[in-house]
Amino acid sequence: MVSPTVLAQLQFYITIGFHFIFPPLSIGLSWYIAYLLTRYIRSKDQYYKDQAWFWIKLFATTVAIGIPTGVLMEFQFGMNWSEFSRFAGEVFATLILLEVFFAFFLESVFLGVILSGMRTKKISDRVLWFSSMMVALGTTLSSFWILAANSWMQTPGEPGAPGSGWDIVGDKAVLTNFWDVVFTPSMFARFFHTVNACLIASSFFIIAISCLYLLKDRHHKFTYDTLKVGLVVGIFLSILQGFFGHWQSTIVATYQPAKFAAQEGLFETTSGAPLVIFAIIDDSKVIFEIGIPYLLSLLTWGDPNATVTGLDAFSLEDRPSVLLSFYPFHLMVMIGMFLVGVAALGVYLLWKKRLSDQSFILRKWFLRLGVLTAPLALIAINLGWITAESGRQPWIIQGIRRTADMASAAPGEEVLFSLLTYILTYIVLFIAWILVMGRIFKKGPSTNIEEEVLG
Amino acid sequence: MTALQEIWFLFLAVIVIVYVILDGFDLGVGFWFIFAKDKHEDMTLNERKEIIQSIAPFWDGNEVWLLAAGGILFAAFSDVYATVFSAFYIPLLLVVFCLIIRAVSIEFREEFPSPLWHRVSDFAFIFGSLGPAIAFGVLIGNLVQGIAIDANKQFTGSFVDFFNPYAIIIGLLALSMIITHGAVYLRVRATEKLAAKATQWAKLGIVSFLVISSCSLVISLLFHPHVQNNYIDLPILLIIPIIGFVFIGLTTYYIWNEKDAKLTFVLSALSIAFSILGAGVAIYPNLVFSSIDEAYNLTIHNASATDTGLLVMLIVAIIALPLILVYTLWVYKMMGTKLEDEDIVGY
Repeated sequence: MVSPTVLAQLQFYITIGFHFIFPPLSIGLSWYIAYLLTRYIRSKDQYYKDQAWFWIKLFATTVAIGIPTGVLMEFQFGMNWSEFSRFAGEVFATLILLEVFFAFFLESVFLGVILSGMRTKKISDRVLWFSSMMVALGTTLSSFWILAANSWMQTPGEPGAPGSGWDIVGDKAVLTNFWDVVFTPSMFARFFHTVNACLIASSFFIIAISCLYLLKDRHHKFTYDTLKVGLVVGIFLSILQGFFGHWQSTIVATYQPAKFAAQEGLFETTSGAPLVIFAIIDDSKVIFEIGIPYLLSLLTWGDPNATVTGLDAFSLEDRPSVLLSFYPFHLMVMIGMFLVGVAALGVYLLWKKRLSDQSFILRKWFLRLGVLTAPLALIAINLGWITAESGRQPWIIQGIRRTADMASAAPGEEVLFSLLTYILTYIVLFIAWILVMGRIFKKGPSTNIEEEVLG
Repeated sequence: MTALQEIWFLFLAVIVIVYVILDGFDLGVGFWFIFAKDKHEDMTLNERKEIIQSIAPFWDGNEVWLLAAGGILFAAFSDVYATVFSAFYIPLLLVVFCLIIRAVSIEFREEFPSPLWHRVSDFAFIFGSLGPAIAFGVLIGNLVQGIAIDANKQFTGSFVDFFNPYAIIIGLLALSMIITHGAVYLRVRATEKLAAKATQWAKLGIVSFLVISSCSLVISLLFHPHVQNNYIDLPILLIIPIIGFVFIGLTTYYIWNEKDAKLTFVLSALSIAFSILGAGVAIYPNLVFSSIDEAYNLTIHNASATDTGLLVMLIVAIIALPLILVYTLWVYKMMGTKLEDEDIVGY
């Protein structure tokens, strides 16, 4: 029998991993909708409102699954990780409480306004625009607070040390300085890296929908306009992501060297460490690898001969799984580079007007590639999160408390039962999500909203 | 041992009250949904569609109050959150499952015109609305009655313990409370035809509430006399349940005589508020009673965060809550107008 803790971990992976498909899309789409409505308010051109309505429908479908699967998260800490909650509640949950107060309310209340308002047409354009801004603000603030909470678990600092903002009294984490806990060393890098990833995923989602329409030869004007925005924003942010990613890696190397060694596949502390591009690896050794000499040292510490700490600097029970850190990390980076390539190609083809050229033989192939980018971008986000969480193991709060000690005493059968319930439910939800999006896609962006609402 | 713990006890009560008042009506309409009729492609009979539409702008925002209550327990009373949530593992799993299928049924009901899907979706809405209401009632019942908590604040029982007669009665009490509130809400919001039906539903609801609440009051006083302690120590506090009884009486009068719908809703909300407040006074300073030894009760003094933490949260709440209330009320005012026949679209 697998231990209840492992089951609880598996459940955490599955429930968050599934949930994490949706918020990235809601963050990016909400800003895109706010952008379209801003243009609508300025130009009074119905074209923008029609576009906005199309994306609002897809957004609503996404949020309809994103919100309730997120509700589970708040419950799950207490249900499966009661000892973590008991220990860390005062520090960790204060950040969650801020997310509820400053983000969830904003997002949920104004989402209701947009959806019902657009359906019944009972709200003014200004209210619609204002509500879209509030929803976008809400989704983004939400990511800020949840990432602050996660950052504290990753880089909590020394309890009681000046600047850490918290201490351990008895057997509980207690707050001493709120802002220090919010702005832990990894907070900013994580926030920019993650939110940017969300915006990128949304850009590619928009690109993918446009490519699908081009493949079906429908809605040309709408599609080219959308594709242009998606590609330009997508390529800009993807390149920017290189810098954010690098920034975050440097932070990991500084504050979580064991995670860094695991994600880079570095078993031995090395000076002039190579950057591993590809490797076959298991949890104890490298079987085969291709690397660029000196590059890891250079990238991390700005000196090709610098020493990079390897896993050998940590005792066995303090090491994360290399398999669950190295492969997700490298796959994420590869997908990222691939996306930059596709976006660059797209911009070039669009600029040369080849995408509207039906005689261009590779057109269809490019469009198919474009459709593929959306799931790939979402997978990359999930992989990044897996790297961050696996790399922190065996700690639940880096260096402070071990995951194995923090689970609930709930019996294994109960955890297994809930795990199966979630897996089944989520499969159904995922199918429903795809089906509903398919219907919205089929209906397409209406050119006449009046007609659609009545019909 | 400072005023901060008391303040957070009060805040928790207020958040729970707002949650029950707001989410109460949108969960409550789920019960009347069973009796509402919807004929496919018949525009003259779409009561189910209308019920969903009546709550559509608000249900999601209302549910966040549950997250707020959970967040406060988690942050301010971590031991309560940890012990209760892990102890009630299976019931809470059911609650989450209900909330998930309910959200999907509300948002996706009209996406597929198939009658089979509507049957599935409607079942999910009913089950998803009533499940949490009953489960929360059962939970409260158990917390008042006491659960097996040992000296280490750990739950030592099994989830089978939760299904005991007292807890089930409190579960039914919660159900009768919100179905009444839901019917009262429909009177305000629904089109004339459905509102007329809801007027009758509200009468059924209030009768069930009066019966079940009287029973549960008597049983609580007889079998769990510890709920009398605070009232015996400080009889002036009896003013709260007395005001509660007055509001319940007024609500009954208003429902029975089909008086102004909006005022009835306000009275129903006030009845809920004072009932919960009265229960809060009864259990103070305990949050969870231990059935093993009363020394093991989880109280606001032995289960709370430190003063620094509570103060930070208090500042947060003082900044956030007025803002939230302002825009929530604004949205209710704007989106809460009475539905007309031609409004029943989309959903």
